[in-house]
Amino acid sequence: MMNQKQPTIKSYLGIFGWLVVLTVIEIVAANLGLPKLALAIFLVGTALAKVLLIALYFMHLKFESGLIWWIPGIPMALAVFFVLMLFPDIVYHLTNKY
Amino acid sequence: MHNKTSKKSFIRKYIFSTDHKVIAIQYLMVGLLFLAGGGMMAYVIRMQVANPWQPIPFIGQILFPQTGGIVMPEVYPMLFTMHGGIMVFFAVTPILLGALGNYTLPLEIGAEDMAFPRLNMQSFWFLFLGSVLIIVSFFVPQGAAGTGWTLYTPLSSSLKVNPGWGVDLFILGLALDAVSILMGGVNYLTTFFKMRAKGMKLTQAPLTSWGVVFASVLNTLWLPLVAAALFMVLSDRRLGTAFFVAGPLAPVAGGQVLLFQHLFWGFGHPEVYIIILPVWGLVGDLLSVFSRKPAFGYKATVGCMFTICSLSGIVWGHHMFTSGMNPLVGKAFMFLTITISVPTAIFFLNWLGTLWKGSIRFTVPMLFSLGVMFVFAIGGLTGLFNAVQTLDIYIHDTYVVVGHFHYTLAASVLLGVFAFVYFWFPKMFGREMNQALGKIHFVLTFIFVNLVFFTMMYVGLHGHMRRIADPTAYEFLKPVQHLNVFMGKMTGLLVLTQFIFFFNFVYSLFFGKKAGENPWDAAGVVWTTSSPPPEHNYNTPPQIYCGPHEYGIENNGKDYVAQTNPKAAELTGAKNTQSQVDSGDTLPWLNIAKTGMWSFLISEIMLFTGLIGSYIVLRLGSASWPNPSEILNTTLLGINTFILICSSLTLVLGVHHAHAGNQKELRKYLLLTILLGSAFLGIKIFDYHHMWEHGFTMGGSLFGSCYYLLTGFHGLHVLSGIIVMLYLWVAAGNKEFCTVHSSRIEASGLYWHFIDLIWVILFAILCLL
Ligand code: HEM
Ligand SMILES: [Cu+2]
Repeated sequence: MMNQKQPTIKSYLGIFGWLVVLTVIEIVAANLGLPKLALAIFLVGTALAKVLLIALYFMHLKFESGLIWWIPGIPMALAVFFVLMLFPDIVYHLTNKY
Repeated sequence: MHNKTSKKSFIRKYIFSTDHKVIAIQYLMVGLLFLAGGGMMAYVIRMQVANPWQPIPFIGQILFPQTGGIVMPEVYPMLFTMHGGIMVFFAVTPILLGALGNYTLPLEIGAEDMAFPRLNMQSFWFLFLGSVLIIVSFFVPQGAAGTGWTLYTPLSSSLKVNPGWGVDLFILGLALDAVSILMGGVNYLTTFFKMRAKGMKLTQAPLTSWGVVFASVLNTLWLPLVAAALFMVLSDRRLGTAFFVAGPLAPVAGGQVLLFQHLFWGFGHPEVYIIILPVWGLVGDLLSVFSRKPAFGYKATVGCMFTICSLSGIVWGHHMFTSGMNPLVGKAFMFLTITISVPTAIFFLNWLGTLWKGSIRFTVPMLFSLGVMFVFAIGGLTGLFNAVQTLDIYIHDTYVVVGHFHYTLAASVLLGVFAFVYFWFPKMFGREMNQALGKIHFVLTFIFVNLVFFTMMYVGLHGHMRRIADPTAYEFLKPVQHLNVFMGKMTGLLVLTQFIFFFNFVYSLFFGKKAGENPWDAAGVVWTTSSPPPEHNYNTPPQIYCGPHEYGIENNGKDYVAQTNPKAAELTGAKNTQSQVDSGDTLPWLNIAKTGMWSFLISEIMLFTGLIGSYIVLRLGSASWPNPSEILNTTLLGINTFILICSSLTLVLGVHHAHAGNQKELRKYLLLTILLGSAFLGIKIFDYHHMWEHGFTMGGSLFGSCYYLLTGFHGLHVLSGIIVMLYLWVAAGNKEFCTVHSSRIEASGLYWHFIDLIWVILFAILCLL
């Protein structure tokens, strides 16, 4: 069933450590008074890193067949398309020239 | 194996049954009842439009005794709203997914039941509860929802214009229905991909099963999106937010009316395919059975269904051409929509290909299938006209659209439902329905359906608006008023015709001719088991040797080869030798529990897409946004993040021990997880209370609305996660638990980590940014 060797308790603790460290970094960064855009890029980046760590190790995606990526992948692609299609109507409506 | 002679109480066997066949029949009964109710409303609507403000003939006095049988102006919108809502969500969906899906899927793939029988039972009861709410909504002060089944905001979301409980009950009823459909979807997907009979390759599954599977994919993907939107409507109504209200009605700035329409149609368009796909599949199979020919281009047909499925998720904007949507986006949607006609046309040609030179048997289900083809052709072709942006500006909101979607949705589906019932009745009840009555029923239904819906398009071209109670108030509609009268009469006759069906159904149930295993000379595996099938469908698990459509082959005086015929390979000339035989399990690397959980997580991803996506666009579209760290207690939220991460760790350690069979450690870590989750919730409640006291309320600002909505929804997920963990903790007290159920624990763990993952996102982009 599993095509790679199972994670050990030690590796779980390692992931846990990373998640905590990234959280602390996020809180610090939010309080530095960075420009909004820079902070946004940074926070989205760290959040994605944390999401990946949880998905890969805690949710075992790394240890399943590669095909499993299709399952979360398809809804996520649709989600991105959906939200992007909202931009012209909702995000840019303040400056809409039409 | 199972104890086949198990004696169960009446209640276990017929009311709270976990047998998919019994559940299917329960769905069928509820669906048919609502179909009758919705049909009656259609009759009242048409009679009102035909003779405005006159008493409704025959049933007016019963329905509206206070007014002498007259529909009051405020009642008319309720009628068309509830007609649409009930037909889509409580009649057609229960019949086509609930009944058709439940009955046919496990049987047609040779499985003994659904993957999760108890979940299956629960999903029926969720539907039942939902339908109770819908019925109750008619009797509350100010009556049922009158917003249109599309629930457009601000009409639906503003308490000022719609103060009664009708809309709220409608939304809650839909929410329960949605839960039911989602649970069903998880079940259908897992059953289909994991539990096919040995030997049945994916390409040997009947088209009906494929239809149900694709519909389930669309359900799990898109239903949560509208659920998110509906909860936001509810929150606008009852919690003082303003997600979908702008202008003078809005308590705070920043709401977006169009956002609702996007969310609604993001689901709404796939929904039309959710409804039609099972019918398409069924018709594909029936055309083959009754033309005594293999389904033409089977693989292309499945491929087209897949393509249509995929495209259906990215065309929703064609419902919004006249909404004030950005016209450039409209163009994109027009292009994408018209693309759908390519796979649809191939699909349709395959149907024609199946019929071509077949030796057609005009049985009742075949007649209804041919009827579906005819009306679907008209419906599909008129869709193309609607899809052209410039043309739609003229025909939008007229009866052209109503005619179009009744051809695709009402006519095709109605005829499809009847094809389903006539074809499967012998298998379900062990008796045949009367063919002569069936034919009369078909001819009359077909005629009246077309007379009603074609006339609709005609008056629509004349400019007749939809959703108006009194066309005689408009001078320019006077020339077509006689057609409204005509449609009223035809609707009455259509409704009357259904009594033939009703009589036939009840009569055949008790006095119909006894049906053998295979009354239709069909080749599918299901026709090898008794009618009705035994409790677990097959006395011995079947082995499959060929596809379901091997007709027109000389075989011992018969003209077909059953799927279970071991000589199928020789007879059909297929290269399907024993060594290539499939295990019937498409995902051998993912166990059943995890397959179910992952299907469910798809819908969770889409639910949070609706919520988080709305937050993102509302925020980016706002003129200003406060700095969260000046409002929120980020330290406290940071601590909460830490707690949730800890709980993921403890759970993952618990699962680790479960796999090792270490029951004591498992329970310890489960308990720790529960405690951490509860701590998270406790802090959350404290945090809410504290901030609310300091004036940061849900209705006070758009930020407040988003904050409480998103974190609140997340909190509810944590709560349900805790309940699951508690259940596991108790169950794990049993010694055998680890060895038997470690996969279940792991699957539940996926859910918990997913909740954690959502929090990680919310923490970064909602609480810190
Ligand atoms: C050939 C494919 C199809 C095309 C190109 C198409 C196109 C369209 C368009 C453009 C509209 C919007 C018209 C307007 O509001 O002005 C529409 C409405 C509608 N269509 Fe279709 N359609 C197709 C197939 C279907 C199918 C298969 C169904 C259902 C089984 C369906 C059900 C509906 C419904 C329910 C509405 C109206 C919803 C409402 O406003 O209440 N359509 N269609
Ligand atoms: Cu559509």
